[in-house]
Amino acid sequence: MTPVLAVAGLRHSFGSLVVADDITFDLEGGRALGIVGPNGAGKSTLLNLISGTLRPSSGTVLLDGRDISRWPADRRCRLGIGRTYQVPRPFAELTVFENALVAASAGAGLRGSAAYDAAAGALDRTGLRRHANEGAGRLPLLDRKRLELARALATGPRLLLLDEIGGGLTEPELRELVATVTGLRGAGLAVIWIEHIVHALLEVVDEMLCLAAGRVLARGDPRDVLASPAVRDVYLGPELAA
Amino acid sequence: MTWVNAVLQGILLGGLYALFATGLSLMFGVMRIVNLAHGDLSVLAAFLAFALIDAFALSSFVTLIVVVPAMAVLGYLVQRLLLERGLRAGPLAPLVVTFGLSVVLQNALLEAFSPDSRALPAGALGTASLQLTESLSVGWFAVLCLGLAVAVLAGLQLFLARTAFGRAMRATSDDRETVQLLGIDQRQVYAVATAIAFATLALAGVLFGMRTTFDPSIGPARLIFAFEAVIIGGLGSLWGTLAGGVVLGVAQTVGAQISPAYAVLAGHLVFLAVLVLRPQGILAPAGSRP
Repeated sequence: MTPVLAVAGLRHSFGSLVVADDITFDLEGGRALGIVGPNGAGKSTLLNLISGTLRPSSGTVLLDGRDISRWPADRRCRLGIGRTYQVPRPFAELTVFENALVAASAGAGLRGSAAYDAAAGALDRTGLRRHANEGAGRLPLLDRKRLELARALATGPRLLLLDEIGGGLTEPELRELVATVTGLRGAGLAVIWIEHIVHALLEVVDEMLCLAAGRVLARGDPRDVLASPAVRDVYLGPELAA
Repeated sequence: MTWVNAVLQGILLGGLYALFATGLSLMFGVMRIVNLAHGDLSVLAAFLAFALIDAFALSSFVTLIVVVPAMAVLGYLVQRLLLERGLRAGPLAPLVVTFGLSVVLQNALLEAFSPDSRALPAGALGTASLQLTESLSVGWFAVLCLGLAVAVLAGLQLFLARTAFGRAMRATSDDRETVQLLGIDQRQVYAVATAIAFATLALAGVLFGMRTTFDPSIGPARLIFAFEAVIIGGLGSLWGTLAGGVVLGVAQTVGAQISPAYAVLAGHLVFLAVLVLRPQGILAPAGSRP
């Protein structure tokens, strides 16, 4: 079976600073990969390389077996990559519903009532329905984070890239988020989730990858990765110390 | 009664200014590009109409069927081939590109059409008027211009509010990077926005040509009127542009009522007053950024 995502020998540098160095892994549908690593390890850069906001210096990105390494971000999205930002970037001039609707029309290529249904569905899944007609610029931070996820879902992704969407959430909210992501994985999506809140990650991910200085430090069973000495050296989350 | 007449004529003239300024407002609103060739492009449209009339003896209105789509295609190409490259080099580059385009257009038109003043035939409509009261009458042509301006602005507003492409355009105006992650090709959105802008300025350019004379060097003077209408109304607001056009038109006709020499000056003074007292424009909510 072809993995949804296959990354091979991915490399990127800003001048002499190497931010991604020979990164290789693949991910099947219905599975979730957690990414951890210290700040500046190149986690968000990796998501940018996959989503297309950065083009790799070398290496390939395959989605469903198609080489999309040179594709622009919008085309990758239409093929099935959804991405959320760490710092939410809603379209402030549009309503919450319109934010999701733009994603459903452009990203999923839906028209008319199908687009409306997809947008409404994405808002339902993220608990934003009651805010549907509010201006997105007025949402508080947590709802902005939900909107990031709703928008990414409305594009109808096969692969979902989540960049620290758990940060700043309360424990019940985090549980809700974990349930949502677990549900998406169960529906067959491939999920990559960058998160500092390791216990949340452990509830969802099948596999863990630890990045440090742009390199894959360890990859495999989540608990094994977190327990490995190399990872403990560079990355010691508060949950681990406990 | 002469004052009432001046205001009335000003409102009607404002319709034409608003129609002309729509493209400038749209391009700034969506792409943050200030198109310094806006005036020259409208003159180009008028000369295209002039050439068509010269060759095929068409009515001025019929030329719109060719000129408006042709200018829209030109707008699409200018965005894709010129401005898009400029945008990658930073916000100042497109400004310089449009300035260059303005110079090129003026000289090309001078070469092709000589510096003579031209006018487009307005036919019977140009002189027909509607007698409202004994001392008050309005020209049908001016009424038509205002009607077209309202129709174009309302149409654009509906397009932006109700259609998928319109929403994509608003989202792109908000954040051109994020939309790409939602599957929107922002270059395509920009090119279509420019095409619409060029279509409206072509329509306005031909109507301007039917109203007054034009020559290859008049573009920059026209551009100032468009600027003033956009700023008076409030940047990025389409209905604001209509209000700005009307305010500018009224200022000019009322100024002309005092002395014909004051027409353009009065418009500039109102523009300056708005800049000083209400820099965000008359229709923008108070406190919003200018």
